[in-house]
Amino acid sequence: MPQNKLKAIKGQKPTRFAITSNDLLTGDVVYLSVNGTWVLDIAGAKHFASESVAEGVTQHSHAACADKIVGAYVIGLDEAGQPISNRETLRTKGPSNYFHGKQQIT
Amino acid sequence: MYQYHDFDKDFVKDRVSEFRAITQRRIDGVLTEEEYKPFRLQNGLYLQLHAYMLRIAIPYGTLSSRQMHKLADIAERWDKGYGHFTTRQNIQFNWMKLQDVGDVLEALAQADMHAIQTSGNCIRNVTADHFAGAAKDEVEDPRITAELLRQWSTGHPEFAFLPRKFKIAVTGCRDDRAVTAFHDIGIQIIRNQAGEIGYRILIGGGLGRTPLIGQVLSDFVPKADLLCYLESVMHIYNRYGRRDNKYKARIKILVQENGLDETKAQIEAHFHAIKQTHPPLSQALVQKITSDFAPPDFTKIGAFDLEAECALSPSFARWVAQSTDKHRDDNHVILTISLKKHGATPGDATASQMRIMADIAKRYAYDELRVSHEQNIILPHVPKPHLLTIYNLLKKAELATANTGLVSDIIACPGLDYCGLATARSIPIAQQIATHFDTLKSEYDIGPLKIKISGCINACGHHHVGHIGILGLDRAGVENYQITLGGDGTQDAAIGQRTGPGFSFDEIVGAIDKIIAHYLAKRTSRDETFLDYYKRVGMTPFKDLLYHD
Repeated sequence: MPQNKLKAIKGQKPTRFAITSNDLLTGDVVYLSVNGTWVLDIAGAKHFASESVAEGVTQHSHAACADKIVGAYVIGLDEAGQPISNRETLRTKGPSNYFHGKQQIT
Repeated sequence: MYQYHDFDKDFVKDRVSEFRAITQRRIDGVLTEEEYKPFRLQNGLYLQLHAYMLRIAIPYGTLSSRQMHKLADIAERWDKGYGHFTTRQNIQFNWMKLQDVGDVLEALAQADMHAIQTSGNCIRNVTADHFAGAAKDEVEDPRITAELLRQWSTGHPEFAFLPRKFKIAVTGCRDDRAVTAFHDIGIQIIRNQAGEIGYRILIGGGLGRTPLIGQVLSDFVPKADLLCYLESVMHIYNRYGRRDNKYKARIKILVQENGLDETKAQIEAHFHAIKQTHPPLSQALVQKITSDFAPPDFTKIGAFDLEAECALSPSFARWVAQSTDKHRDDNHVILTISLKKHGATPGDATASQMRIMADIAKRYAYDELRVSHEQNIILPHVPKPHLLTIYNLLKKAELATANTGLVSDIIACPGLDYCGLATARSIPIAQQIATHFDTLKSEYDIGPLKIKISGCINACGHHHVGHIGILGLDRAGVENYQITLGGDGTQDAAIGQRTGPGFSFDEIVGAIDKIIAHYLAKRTSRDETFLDYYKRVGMTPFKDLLYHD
């Protein structure tokens, strides 16, 4: 009965931002990297100090990669570069009932 | 079992070809996601948190062993070795890759299956009593009607773009195991005073953010009029159902806003207007479907002393007592195979477990399986002499947990672990509750108790009709779980009432434990079930113990 511990803090505000999407062919969770490619590991995600800047990049990246990804959007991160929302934490780590999602990759 | 005709086979084959061609255009960049998404959804393909999810239709929950084997093959070849049986009697595969889905649909078509209309604003897979054809008190096998509705609604051009999705359930019994009162249309097959078989129609039931109990639209619709009558319902819904707000677009809101009387008047006016010109129901078709669902020859099985066999093994006796129901033939039973091993994910089965269940059905139980909306597998016709052999085979496969109907037989939606709509996790809560009461060894003492968990307000886990319902929400970024009490999805339909403020992930199992400990301490006897107790004492003592002690 594996379970990911979720550590979301009530009302926590993000200190930085990243852009995430799903790979068109595999459905895998991906993140926009510094060099403009989409990577599986959130550790390789490009960080943005401003949410509005990230939003602008999202629109551009989504348009440029519409045949590679599905639905890019901005997520909030904490100081350690980890998602602050439970949903995005699970997307980063995989489901909590089986260790066969992202856990196998990262 | 219903047998596909050439028409069915060609239809499904064409849809597979269409899916492959249009998906390739998406992969090639010819189609945008906005253009492609409605199409993939109409073929049951969602994009969830981690991957694509394919929802496969299991009409009225009925499977042959060949079809169950095919699902096992898909789980092994294209997924991660397991599938998730749902509260709509379907199966979902959570780890699909887009480029594989055409092959998966082709494999399904080889076994007369598909994923058509398992999503989108159309008439979804028609569900039915999972004891159909086996229940002792049945007026008629509801799958005959459900199959007729499947043929009528599949690809029906007028119903392809409804205001919202539309769900129909059918039962042939007074004991409602199909939750008909909580469907857009609930159909109960009845016999009137003249001895004629027809339909009692409920309308406007539903769960989700606005839970409502279906109201009686008609006390008796003759069999010959069913399709014409339902076509009138759909016509009025299509015409007047709201399209401005998806949260108010289900037919239950139309009935609620306009009132039952006005809605009924509109439907019946349309019915009478089209009745004379509506194509008559083909009796040849009905007879063909009826013959497809002809019961097996039960007379080949003689009397058997099951009690004597149970006396030799307490664990077998416990399993029989908990997992079997009375069959229409005294030498058979209806067997529920629990997919709720303590600590496991409710409704999940591995490929090898699917194969074992399929092989047992083929060898010992007339080659038929059912998926129940409570996320278990049913063998509807099991000869009593085979039960011990089946028990031993299931036990080896970790499929002989004797907990059907008990506190650990929990319905849980996929929740935030998988679902793009969810706001909190469901599965770990179900796992912890089941493990907790298994550790206490108290579930047999607690007796019948249905816990149902949803990971968001859409209520796929049916929490509104749980004796104890749990609704997972997001409160300022953290998971929070509200509790409802007194829900009932049967013929005594009731919507559970909220106890009060919710509990955190770490608190919710303790809160459920308090509720059940109170019931055990205060019930008049073991014969007073949790639901009976709640009906007797009401909400106050539970509020006191949860919030004031």
